[in-house]
Amino acid sequence: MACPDELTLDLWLADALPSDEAAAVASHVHTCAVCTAAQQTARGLDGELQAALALDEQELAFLSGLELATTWRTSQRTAGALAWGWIALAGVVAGFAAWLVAAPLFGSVVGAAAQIGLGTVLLNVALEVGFGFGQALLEVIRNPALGLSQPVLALFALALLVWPRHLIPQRSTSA
Amino acid sequence: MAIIELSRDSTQHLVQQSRAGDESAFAALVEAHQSAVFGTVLRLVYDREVAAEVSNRAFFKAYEHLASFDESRPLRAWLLRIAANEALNELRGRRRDAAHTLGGAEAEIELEQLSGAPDPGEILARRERSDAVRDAVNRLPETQRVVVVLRYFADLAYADIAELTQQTVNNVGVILLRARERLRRDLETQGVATDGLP
Repeated sequence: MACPDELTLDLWLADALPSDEAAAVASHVHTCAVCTAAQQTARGLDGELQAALALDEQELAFLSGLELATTWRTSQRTAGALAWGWIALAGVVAGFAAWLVAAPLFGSVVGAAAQIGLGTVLLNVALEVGFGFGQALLEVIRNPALGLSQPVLALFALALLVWPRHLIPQRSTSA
Repeated sequence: MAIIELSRDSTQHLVQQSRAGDESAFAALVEAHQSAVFGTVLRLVYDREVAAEVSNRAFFKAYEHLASFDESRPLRAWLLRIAANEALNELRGRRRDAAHTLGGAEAEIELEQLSGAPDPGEILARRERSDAVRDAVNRLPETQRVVVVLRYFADLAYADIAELTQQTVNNVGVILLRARERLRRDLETQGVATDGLP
């Protein structure tokens, strides 16, 4: 048998050849100095790569600290968080769909709110309530049937008399 | 770190218990295979934190799909297949710069000296050469790197690698030959002696 090519020799070394072919290669390599040398070189390389890639002390210490036998379950929580994300997305899509269905039903209200602006509506309502309350109070005071005009004016005058003077702003004088 | 070797019967028993929902049985399987899984992932993603995360994910995935595991086949190869796939998915997702990892060579030398190794100069030379080979492996194209790691770290047979990477056994051999040739050229460029390489 002639010397096997590099791939055949490599497959033979890795026990990846069919048994009959492997036997032929083996019998040749035992009698061929070139193939024996190639075999030794390949085994040396295998050993070198295995040694270089093996986990070193630091990596083994890091692995010990990981406690994978207990922490592998934590992926469940990640999976759970992912599920919540999908639920939230489904909620948003469902809300959008509901909005699309409901929008025509409340179209006029939504249109008015959009045109005026929600802030304007709220301010208007607040001012109306405030002015309404003040007007009602004045009407109660002025009502002659109740006779509250004079006493209220007298109370107001008294209030001005006892009003603390230091609360009235003074004009400053230069020295 | 002690590596636990499980017999075939023990593995089968633990697999059956895990399938029945016994998480402590699966934890024993994790204990036995964590070094192979973590190491394979680490050599592929080249980052310890990421490797830890991916290993966790791989074990969880394995637990979830344990029903599909063929008990006539070795569990180790099945776990490594899941781990390698997860690592490759991670790489495809991140495409990160592989430059950062693994605290300095000095720290490792200190560790080796503590364990009684004699000559710091020799340790440094050996460490530097190992680092150079690792870096060269890391620079290989993805197809070659996966096969090199599965062969030389995970110690999988060509047939298992072929099944895992969905190629023929001959193709695996060709990829390994090309990878070794590329490693030799790369190491020569880096000025590292390549006695063992073709």
